[in-house]
Amino acid sequence: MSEERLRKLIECPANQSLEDYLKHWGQKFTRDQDHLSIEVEGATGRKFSAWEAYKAFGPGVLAEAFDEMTAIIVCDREEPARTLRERRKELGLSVEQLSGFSSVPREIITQAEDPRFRTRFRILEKLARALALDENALTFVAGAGRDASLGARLREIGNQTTVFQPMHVMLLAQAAWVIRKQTELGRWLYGENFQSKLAAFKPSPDYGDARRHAWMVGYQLAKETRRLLGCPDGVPVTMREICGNILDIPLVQAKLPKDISGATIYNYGTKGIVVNTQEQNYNVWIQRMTIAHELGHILWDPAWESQAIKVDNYGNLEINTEHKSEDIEKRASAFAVELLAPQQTVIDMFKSNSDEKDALRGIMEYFGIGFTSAVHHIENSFFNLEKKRISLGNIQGVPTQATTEWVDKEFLGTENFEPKSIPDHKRGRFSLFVVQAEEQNLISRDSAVSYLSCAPEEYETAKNTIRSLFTQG
Amino acid sequence: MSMEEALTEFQASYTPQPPRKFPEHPNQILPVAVGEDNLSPAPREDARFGNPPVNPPPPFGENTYLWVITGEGIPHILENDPRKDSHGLERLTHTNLTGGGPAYRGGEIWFKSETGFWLSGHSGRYMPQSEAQLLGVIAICNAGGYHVLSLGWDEERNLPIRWRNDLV
Repeated sequence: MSEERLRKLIECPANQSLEDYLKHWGQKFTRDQDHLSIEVEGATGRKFSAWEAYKAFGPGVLAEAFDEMTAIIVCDREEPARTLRERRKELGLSVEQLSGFSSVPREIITQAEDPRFRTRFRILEKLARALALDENALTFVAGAGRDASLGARLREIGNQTTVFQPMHVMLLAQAAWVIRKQTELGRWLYGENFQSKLAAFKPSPDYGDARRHAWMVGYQLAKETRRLLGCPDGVPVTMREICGNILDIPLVQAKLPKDISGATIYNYGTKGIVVNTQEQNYNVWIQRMTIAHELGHILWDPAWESQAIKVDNYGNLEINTEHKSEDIEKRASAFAVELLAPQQTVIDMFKSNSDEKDALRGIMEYFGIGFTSAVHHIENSFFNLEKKRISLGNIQGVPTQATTEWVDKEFLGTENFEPKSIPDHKRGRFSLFVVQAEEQNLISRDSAVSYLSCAPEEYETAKNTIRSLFTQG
Repeated sequence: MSMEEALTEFQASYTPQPPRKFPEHPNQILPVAVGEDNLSPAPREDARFGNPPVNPPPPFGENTYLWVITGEGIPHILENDPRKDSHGLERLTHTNLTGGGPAYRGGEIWFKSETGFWLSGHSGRYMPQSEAQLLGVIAICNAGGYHVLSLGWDEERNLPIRWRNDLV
């Protein structure tokens, strides 16, 4: 009914689908806290493309806004104040902490949480994103697409005060927002093809037993992953290609506490990986291991989503250390190293070089894995395939630095990024999707600027940077 | 300044505009109250008291009057006036006050009393184009002895406010 009315009002040709027409329709809309309107000259509020407005509010609201100039988008007179207030509390954050992170003054936050006040939408969306809410749903939907499990888990993480500061909780919340938005944009840009390869992966509850260790299962799952992805055995893979181009899994970089290597996040039906850019991950080989480890959780752990956020520390990455006691981590670590460096090729390469030190470095360089991972993996591979125990623990003097070739191959888009105002966690493939969506009129230029957190005048520079970064290699 | 003088001044300041777009239903331009029901100086006797939309959805107020400023005055009519039925309309529209012709501006009012009302500049066809125009309308009403509570102007959309939480 609403769709028919909208079609008629906007004179959508009978032989064209409404969605296709809206994607190309030049009409822009502007919203404030409580209304969606057709864009008029002099409006300073957030501008939406017709497609964005349609996806956010549906055909009924769009039809009313087009016909009446303005549609009211309020679902309840307590909104959006109630959602913002309750979500902040759910995350265990004070007004001061939220203010510090979002750069929104305390008194403005207090007003936004009080239904007796109206707040500018540009402020509201800043707060919504900081709280991992769907900013477009604010006022229109109670809860604004809030993922309660994520909120509870963020609060739990925030309570681990020896490791996490409130800033880290909010960084994870921001990462959750990026993952969700990137997935939404990916679906808009690529339709059913987006994440279509994920369907082939059926999570496995097999974590081994007394005779068959969890790491052996991890090796098997890595083999199966290579098969499903069409990666030949023995050939090095890049995580940029696997996560970015093949599986479409959002990868977000953020400055997390120094012991944390990475995390997986599940937010309102979307999932992605967060990689710490600090400490050991500064070495691209360690970072590759972190991403592969998290990928192991996402692809193969059943119901990991119920945890909403799963945080890993660097100790979890190695399968021969005393740090990890859980089979779930052993399996993910074995999966990671075997995905990056299949054991048969590792053994063959090691045997082909009489100098153990050179052989070790050769394997590190060829497969792009770190020193510790390589040592343990070679030892484990010999034990696993040839029932032979070897020890490389005494090898010293092997350079641990990653080669520039691997830095270039895995380049994830955070270095040399201009403009600098765009934060680390938005410099990955997310930024590419934003630019593509803007160029295809799926989102307005104003939304693109807002998503990237840059100044309007910086957007052209950002576009150039993003285009050149993501067309390399 | 009298209400009539304020109205004349407003009319001299602006040009009447045709409706922004043609109504969906042809009966929405049938002249229901053209030249009738002009808002006179307070008190407005027999006014139906109401209020702006407060409990969405749906986003309608109670006893909403539609108003426009034409060359003749300020015709206003209840959106739910029984005359809608004879035209087969769910609600009357601003174009029923103009016959689809030009008007200076239009909007909505909700009487709180015989001498006071909430006023919005919301009209899909004759919406004020600036805050100054909306303030001009309020000045006319004030000159007529009415106490006006304006829903106000939204800078973000550069359009009149149609809804606000803090009114009731």
